[in-house]
Amino acid sequence: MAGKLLSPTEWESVIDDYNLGGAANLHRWTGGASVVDLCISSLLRKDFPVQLKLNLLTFLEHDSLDDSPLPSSSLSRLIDALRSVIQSPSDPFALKDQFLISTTAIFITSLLDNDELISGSPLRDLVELFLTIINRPNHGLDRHTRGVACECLRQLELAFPCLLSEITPHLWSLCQSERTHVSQWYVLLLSTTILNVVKLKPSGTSISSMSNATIPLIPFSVPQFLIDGVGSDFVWKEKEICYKELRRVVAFLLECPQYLTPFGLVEFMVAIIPVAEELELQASLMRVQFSWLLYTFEPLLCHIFLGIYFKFLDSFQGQELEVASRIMLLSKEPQHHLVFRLLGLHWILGFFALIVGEDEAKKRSILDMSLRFYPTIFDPLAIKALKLDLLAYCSSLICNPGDASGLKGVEADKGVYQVTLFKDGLVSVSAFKWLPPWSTETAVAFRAFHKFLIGGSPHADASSSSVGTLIESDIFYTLQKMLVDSTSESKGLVPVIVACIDRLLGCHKHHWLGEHLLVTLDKHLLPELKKDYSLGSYFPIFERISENDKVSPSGLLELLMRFTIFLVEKHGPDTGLKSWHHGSKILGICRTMLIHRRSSSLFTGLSKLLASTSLHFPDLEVRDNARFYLRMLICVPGKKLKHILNMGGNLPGISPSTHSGAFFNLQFPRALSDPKRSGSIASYIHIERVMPLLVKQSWSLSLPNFGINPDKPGFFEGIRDNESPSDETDTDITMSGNIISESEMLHQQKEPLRVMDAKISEIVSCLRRHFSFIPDYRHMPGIKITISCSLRFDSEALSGTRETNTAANVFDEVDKLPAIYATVLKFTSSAPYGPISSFPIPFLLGSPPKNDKHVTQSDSLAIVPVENGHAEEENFKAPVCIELEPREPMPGLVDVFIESNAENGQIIRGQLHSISVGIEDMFLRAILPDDLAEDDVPSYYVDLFNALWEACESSSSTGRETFVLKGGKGVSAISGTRSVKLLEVPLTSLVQAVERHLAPFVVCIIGEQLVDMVKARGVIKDILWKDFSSDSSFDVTCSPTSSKEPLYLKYLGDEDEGGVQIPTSKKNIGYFQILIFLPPRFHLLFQMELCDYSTLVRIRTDHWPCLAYVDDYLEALFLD
Amino acid sequence: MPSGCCIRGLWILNNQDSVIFSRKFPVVERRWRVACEKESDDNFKYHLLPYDSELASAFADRKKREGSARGFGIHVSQSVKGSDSWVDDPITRHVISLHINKEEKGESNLLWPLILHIKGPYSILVLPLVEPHHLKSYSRMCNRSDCGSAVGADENLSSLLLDLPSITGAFIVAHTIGEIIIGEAVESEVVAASSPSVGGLLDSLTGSIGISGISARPKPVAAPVAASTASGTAVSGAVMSDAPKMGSRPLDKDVLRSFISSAMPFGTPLDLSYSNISAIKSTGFSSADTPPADRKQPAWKPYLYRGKQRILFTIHDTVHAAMYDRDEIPDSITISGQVNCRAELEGLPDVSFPLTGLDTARVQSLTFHPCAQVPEHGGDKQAITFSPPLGNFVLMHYQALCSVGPPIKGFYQLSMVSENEGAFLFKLSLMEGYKTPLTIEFCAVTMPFPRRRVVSFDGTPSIGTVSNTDHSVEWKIITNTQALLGRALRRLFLEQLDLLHGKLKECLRLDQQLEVWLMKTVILKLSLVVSFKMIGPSLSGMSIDPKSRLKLSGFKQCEHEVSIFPAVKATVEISTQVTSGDYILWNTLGKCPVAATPEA
Repeated sequence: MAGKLLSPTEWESVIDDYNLGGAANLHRWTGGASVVDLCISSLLRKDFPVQLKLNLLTFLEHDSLDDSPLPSSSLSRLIDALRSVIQSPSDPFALKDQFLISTTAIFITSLLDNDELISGSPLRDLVELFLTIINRPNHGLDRHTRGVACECLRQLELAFPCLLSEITPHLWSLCQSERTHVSQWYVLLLSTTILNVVKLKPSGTSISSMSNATIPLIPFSVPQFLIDGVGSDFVWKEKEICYKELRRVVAFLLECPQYLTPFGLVEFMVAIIPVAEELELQASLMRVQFSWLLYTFEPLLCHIFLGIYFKFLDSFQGQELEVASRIMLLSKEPQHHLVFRLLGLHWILGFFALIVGEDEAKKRSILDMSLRFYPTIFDPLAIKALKLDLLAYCSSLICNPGDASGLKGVEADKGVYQVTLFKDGLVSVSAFKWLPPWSTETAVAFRAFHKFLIGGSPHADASSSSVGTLIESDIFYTLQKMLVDSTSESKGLVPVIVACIDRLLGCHKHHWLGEHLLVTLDKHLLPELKKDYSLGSYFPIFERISENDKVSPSGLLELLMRFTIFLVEKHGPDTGLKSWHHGSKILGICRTMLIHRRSSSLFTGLSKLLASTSLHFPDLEVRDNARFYLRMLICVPGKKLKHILNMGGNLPGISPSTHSGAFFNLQFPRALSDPKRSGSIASYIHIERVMPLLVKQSWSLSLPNFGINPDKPGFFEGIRDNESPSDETDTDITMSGNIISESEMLHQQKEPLRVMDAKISEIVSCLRRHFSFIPDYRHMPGIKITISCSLRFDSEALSGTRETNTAANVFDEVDKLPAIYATVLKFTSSAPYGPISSFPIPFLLGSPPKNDKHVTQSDSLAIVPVENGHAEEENFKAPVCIELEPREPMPGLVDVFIESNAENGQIIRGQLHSISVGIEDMFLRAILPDDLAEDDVPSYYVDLFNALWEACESSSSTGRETFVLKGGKGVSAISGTRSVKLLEVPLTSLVQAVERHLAPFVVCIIGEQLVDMVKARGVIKDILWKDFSSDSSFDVTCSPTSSKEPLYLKYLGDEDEGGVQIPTSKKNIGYFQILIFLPPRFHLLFQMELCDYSTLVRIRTDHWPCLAYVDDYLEALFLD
Repeated sequence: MPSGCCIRGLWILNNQDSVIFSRKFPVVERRWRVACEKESDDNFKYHLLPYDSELASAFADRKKREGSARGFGIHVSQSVKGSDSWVDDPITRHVISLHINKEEKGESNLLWPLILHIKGPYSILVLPLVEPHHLKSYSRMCNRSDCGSAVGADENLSSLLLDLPSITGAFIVAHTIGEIIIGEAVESEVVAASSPSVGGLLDSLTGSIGISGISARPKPVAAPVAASTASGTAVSGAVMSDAPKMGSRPLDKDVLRSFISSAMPFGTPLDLSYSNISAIKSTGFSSADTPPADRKQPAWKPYLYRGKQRILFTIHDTVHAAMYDRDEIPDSITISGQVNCRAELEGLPDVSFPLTGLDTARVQSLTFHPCAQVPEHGGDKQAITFSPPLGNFVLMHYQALCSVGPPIKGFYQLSMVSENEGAFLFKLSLMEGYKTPLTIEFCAVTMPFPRRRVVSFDGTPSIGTVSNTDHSVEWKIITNTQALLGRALRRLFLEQLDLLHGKLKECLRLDQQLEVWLMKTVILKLSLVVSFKMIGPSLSGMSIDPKSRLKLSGFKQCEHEVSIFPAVKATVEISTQVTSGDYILWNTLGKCPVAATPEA
């Protein structure tokens, strides 16, 4: 009894705390003392209000639930307290009753957890106390307390079966004599005791006779077999007399139900039915005794009746209909609360399931009732839903195999009957057609739809034989028709229908039903739809159709095509957003198709749709995305494509249609670059030039930049003394004070006032024309050179240990290979190449290991469509174009950085091997004027060659000329340099080398022998051919070298400079004249004098630093 | 009968979702624990009953998940696997499950079946005892991965419910407790007319699934009828009666506690008669209350009547009509009714009387109070014997077709001339063809506009007065009791009516959506609701043989009159009244709900 006594208010807090959070909250109140002891002492206090005491008792009961069992001492104290309360005249009956109840409850929970206590005195004392109370039948004042005591005893008997078995005779006599309203409690006590006796059949002499009590009621002793705990050894003494007496008792009890409350009757039935069975009472007797239950309006009594019915099914044979229709009434009576009406319908369903079995007659009788299952107008929707269930049940009864021909109303055709059931039933919720799609009516209607649909093939039914018959059945036809009709009538229903189909598709058993519905929709709904903006509502259905392999995509593609056409036609200033919206949706469908279907089945239709969308669709984004999809459809193999498109597909709430272009945005946020990996990235991701450089350039001439502006190529500023920057020229002109307009000024510049002869002016005008087409990179995009490279990566590096099965099918192999996605290559260079744009590669497969060698050798850039069936190595490398805009023609290195996504979403980042750029990459053909006729091209080139040749003469009279570049702002001057190189190579190999590497730049060939030879080989075409007959005149008039002196003199003079011994015995076979344009505005001219075993190359250029590279180049070209 | 009806615990929550009363029954819980331990396996084991806080949060969670306290009831797209609506059965709005999450263990504990009864601001949860295999079965059902059970074939709720009387019992317990905490459990008046509302029309408009009644439907206010006993659904709120309402007297826990300890001391309900229990609690028994000498006193009659002896019967018809005035849709008129009784008789007598008008073609069902003994079959006339309990009680319920024409016939047309303005016309004829003298206590016609506000109307009725409230226009045709001696009344009523959709801002989002939808489909102009009450012969034809009635004054013991055994001197009074239930004239120009009538 440690701890303080709690005051009433404190107790209330204790109880509240306990209810809210359990015993854990109690410690701070009790301070560790036993809760029971605290309660008992409070209960005995006179100053506490009765209500609080009642609360305390309930609290004790609750506490006994999760507390450890009470020790025997506490129980004894509890009984003492109980006794004192019961005997106290002042305590109200309410407290006494509650005390009895709570004590019993605490005892039961404590004793059951602690078997040893059963034999102890507390239980005996308690039972004795109860027996004392109930042993005063018909006593007036405390009659209700007697009833409570009976119930307490009954609970003890239930908890400890046969506890009271030895005093059953006393209980019976008490029961017989009690006449007040509490007789119910005596009856229940007796019936429970009898039940346990009959059920457990205790051995014992004491209950050999019901009528003669051999043991006194008090003092009570706990039966020995309960203490011993040998419940299994009970043996019923087969005494006829016992049975006889028991029958008398039961007969007495069977008279009682009229006096019991409905709940009392429930308990009574629980006890009496097993007894009746054991005593083999006639079932018909039970029927007569209890059939009235079915005619009451108490749901509980009806339910009890059903219990009896199923217990004695045989004796109620033939009454199924009667019973069913009585239960049906429960659901029809509006005075019942909704839930009881629902229960009634459920009972019917359960009832049918139990009785029907394989019995045709019963099925028929159920079908005969079907008219009663029709929902009525005033039925609440919940009732309607369940009644529709009943109709669906009837429908499934019909479609089950079996002879239903004898049915009333079914004679004609059972299929028709089924359809009638469905249609008539659905009328009651037909409001779904005009109510909003989220209305409950709609939900109920579609629930019924579903039930009718799967009625014929329940999940429990393992056989799938019914599939075929179901598809052909009338009901299925009707259901489909209803679906199609209501969908085409009301687009609002689309989400509901989609949900319905989804539900079927998600079901292992009814997957095919969903697919079938989709086929139906595809076949019947799609042609019905109007091709206007309202079509947008149907996209959820299209989405499902496009996902499903069982439905041919052609219908949908055709519809989308027509819709696209509609959108294109309807496009106007106001419909921009609409067009975009619908266009994106269409692309969303395309995407879904790409994800879910084989590319081959789609190819024709989809590529047509995408192609026309990308061509004609008014919205730019849609066009772009369409192009994107089209390219993917064509280039990426099927499974990889699905994988790509699926990325991010698991993000809920983002519909692909609105983000159709967002493929690149859907990266996994967790991706990070792996520093360890990026360092070694170059070891497994390779970027290579397609055409290897002739010269493995290991150096480049770097000239100091004296200029202030680092953007400008420095060396001209430093070395050239005047000219080129147009700004200066412009300033000059402006400063000259001429008030002339810009255009006139430009004109002026073209015709500077200068004295020159006709020939020079011809050269100058030719050069002016030429330079006026060279873009000025400072003001406009400069001339670009393109370096073709290829990117590939080793699959092992990304796939880890995954091995490639070389024996497997090529497709499979391809699918197993890893891939990288959304690769972006970025380039930088220290050489003056201007800004270099990055290069995206959407998708790249890893190259299988065995193909490594071929990759480098292959120089094909062609895209090989996947449909050709061969996965060649081209599939494993991506063409990369590096576009440079050189400020100065010089070799250099381009650094390459990669950023890409691996399949697992990891981002790969790092530097690859640099790409070296050679001087030959700078070689371009001279720019042709726009207005030049095609036939004039060769002669133009020759003229240009000659003009430049002349201009590059260091002492040329054109040296002071400036030439305006394209755009008119910049001017350029020519400052030429000359050089020669002797190549000791045989004629044929030289020609071959020229043909292979310099063919585009050859502008003229002179000499019959050479002309014949080159013409015959057919590589070099469309140039000017000259023979030596015209050579003389040519030499004199046109040859740039001979403008002042005879050719050979000059020639010899040149030899001195070069210091090269020319073997004079060699016969000159002819000349190649080669004109190379070096971006941004320079030129390189070769004139090759070919002899049988050696060739002299005269070189002129207006960019002298290039001579350094040219030398190496020529050697590599001809001498290797 | 595997088990009776036992209750493991019950909880009452207020509309803030906190538990305000809870009671657990250790004896029943102990039984559950033993059963669980016997059948426990990896997925299933015994859990302690939740504490109040755990239960409250689980209930709030469910409410959030299922959209409302009751939930969706049927499988909708928002349904989550493992939740009640996944089972796809409307009764899961009443038999719910809760997932109790124990904080410390992180495990979830499925509590099923919880009986949910919403009464006023309170949600009453009752947890009956079932067997572990029932719980496992339900758990399988709400976690099934296929598309839902086929009726009668797959594992379904029906067979569980049929197997579990404890669920049925728990509902009765829940309802009784609901009446007690609301204070409705007062004894009804003699002519206690439970004018039950059948409802069910367009639940989407009027509330959620299963909630009955057109909004703003007037009750027969003028009827001198006290609150009814079975008025579980009678309160028709303005809208959305799914949500519990505020404003009610505080819960009297002591009353409830004492009721529970008497009605189901150990969790096993034995007697739920609140009036009896409270009488026993308050007055107890005196030595004067001697039991009858010759026979047992029934448990439902703890006290015997003493005083002047009489017996009263009221036959009460409630007419439900859906009238369309269209060729393709037949009108539907049904009558549900009841016979109320009050027998102030000393001792424990048996009363028997003949009931006529039971033509089987018309009378569709008869159900009786448990105290009545009923011959199994009967023709047009049936003798009914019963041993009356104390006070008022409903002796029997019946359902019948109308024996004469509908008391009020007519048509109703309303069309919107603009978005906010409508013109309507209706024409009614009252009691056409009725020959017998009858008295109409009142008759009124209401045009409800549940979601719009009536700004003004214009028009003059040919009789009676017209008034409008915010959401309806009411025409009181007959306000004072008038006797109509077979004379038909005809009314023409032509008016202009301005409507304004006013209160929209206060509505929920769903309502706004609905409103927009309704504006489009123009179905606001639904119906005309007629309410009336008349005293006279029952329309169902049900009667306690009038010939006998004349003889009653002499208390002769003849076959066809009310007889009492053992014979005593008592007056017998019989009255009949007819009231309207759902009596609706649908707008001929609008959409209307219909149901197929089988060709019976």
